[in-house]
Amino acid sequence: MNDPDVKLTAKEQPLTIPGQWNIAYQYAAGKTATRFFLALRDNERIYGTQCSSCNRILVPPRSFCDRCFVKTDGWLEVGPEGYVVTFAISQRRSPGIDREPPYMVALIRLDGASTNLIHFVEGCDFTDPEQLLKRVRAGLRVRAKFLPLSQRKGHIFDIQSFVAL
Amino acid sequence: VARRAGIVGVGQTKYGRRFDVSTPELAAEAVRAALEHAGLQMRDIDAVFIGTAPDALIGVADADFWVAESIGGVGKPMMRISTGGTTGASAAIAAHDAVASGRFERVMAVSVERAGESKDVQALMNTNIDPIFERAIGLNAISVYALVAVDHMLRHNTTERHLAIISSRNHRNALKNPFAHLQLDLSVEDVMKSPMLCWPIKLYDTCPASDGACAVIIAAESTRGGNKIAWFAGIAAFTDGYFLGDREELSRRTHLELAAKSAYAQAGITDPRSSIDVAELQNPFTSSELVGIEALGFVERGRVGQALDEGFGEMSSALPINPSGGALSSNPVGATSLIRIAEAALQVTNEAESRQVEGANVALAQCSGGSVQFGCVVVLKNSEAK
Repeated sequence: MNDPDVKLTAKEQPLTIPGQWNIAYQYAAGKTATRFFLALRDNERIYGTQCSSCNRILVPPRSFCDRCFVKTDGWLEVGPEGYVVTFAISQRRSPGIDREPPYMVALIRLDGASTNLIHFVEGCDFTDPEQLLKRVRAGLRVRAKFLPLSQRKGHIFDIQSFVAL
Repeated sequence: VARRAGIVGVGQTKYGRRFDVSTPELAAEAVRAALEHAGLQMRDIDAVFIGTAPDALIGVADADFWVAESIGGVGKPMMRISTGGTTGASAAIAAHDAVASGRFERVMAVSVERAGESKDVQALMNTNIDPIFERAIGLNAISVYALVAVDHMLRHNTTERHLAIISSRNHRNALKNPFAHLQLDLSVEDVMKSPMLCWPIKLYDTCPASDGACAVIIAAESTRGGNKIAWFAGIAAFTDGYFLGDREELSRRTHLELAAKSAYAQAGITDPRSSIDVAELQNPFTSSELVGIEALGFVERGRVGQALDEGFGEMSSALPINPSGGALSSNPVGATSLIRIAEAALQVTNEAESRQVEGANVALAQCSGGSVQFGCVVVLKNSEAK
């Protein structure tokens, strides 16, 4: 016990103390996101906000323009169709995600939008990435598929996924 | 800046699974090593800037409280700095500014991270994601860097093999770094055959979850004593927005391009590829190095794949990239960017031992973090550099 440089024997592995974080939150979406989610839930419509200074249409909607640093001042409907900008194919289950791999996550440029939305894409063959690259380079069109009205709750997953056309 | 400042001491721990020490002890190990390297005592240090990144990694919120005495903060000003992957670099930049401004004589930047204790690193990385629009999609660091890789593949015909070339080089270099977590002699084929996680990112396109700490001591000309010194010749840090979908081109890191341009101008560099002798790039994923090489202007945009095919970045080339093995071999998240600066400093003071690039007078450290949104470029020179 007097040796300051501690040496543990093979039977004495360094101890660990168990711990866990599991803290519930209610994140404020804010009025702007609330308007967006209610339009998904009630009308199957996707809206972006417009900055009248640079004319960009932001999706997901923001209450301010990060470039001009002014309030956005208009709502415009975008989509429900668009195209895949880039994608990835997850081969593993993601924590907390109720989706069987393989599945595609993509940046989607909705028609009329100036920015891209991140969401799932289905309806493609995920086993041949080279073919997918070709399809996306040629312009892979997708369309929002909504949950049935009774299941929609004002959430990004009111859009179940985007389906390749 | 009011006066020149440079790095006079560097301390690193062995990276990896470090259950032989607690987190405060891990930090102390790097601090002691840096003091020893500089031939200084803790009382010679005027202030300590500590960087730790996601609280959930260490599993103790605001771990600066916890490590205060182990980093020598007692009786001194200290503050925590956190900018995701660039955390350690941000601490070093703040430490530099505190010395260069004349406020302090010697400041230590230290960064400690514990990535090996949590049971699911990707689940906790998902807690970094916006909870309103994006978290539910299950994005994590792997899928984000897969999106970056595919964006580059789509635009520039880059291939999975190009990513594998990056991985193989970093892992082979790590064989000579005694601090490296992974020491694997991986060929391009070994990387190509490794399990697919999120196409096109495979196991060996990703970093390990490493425990570790790094510390650097920054002093002014008047307080360097007899120490070798790595002068800061250029420092720049730029930021992009959070939402990945807002980028014009996801694989083009405009914030890093801005940082490079600014740091080169400060350092008097017009042709980075010929002026810089060695570079340490922060590459937790092969795709981060891929787009970093272009953002730094080492090759023309869109040409990085071809350059890699021609051996760009190899130890035997004119501009070796990551003699240390980079983050692909050791990634103690918030500390990783400080390691890039520490390794660059060791190169210009000719103390990088078995990973030394001969005659290195000018070294670059590139750091990146956040939602592919923070970019720092630091250029270090020795006294011989023109």
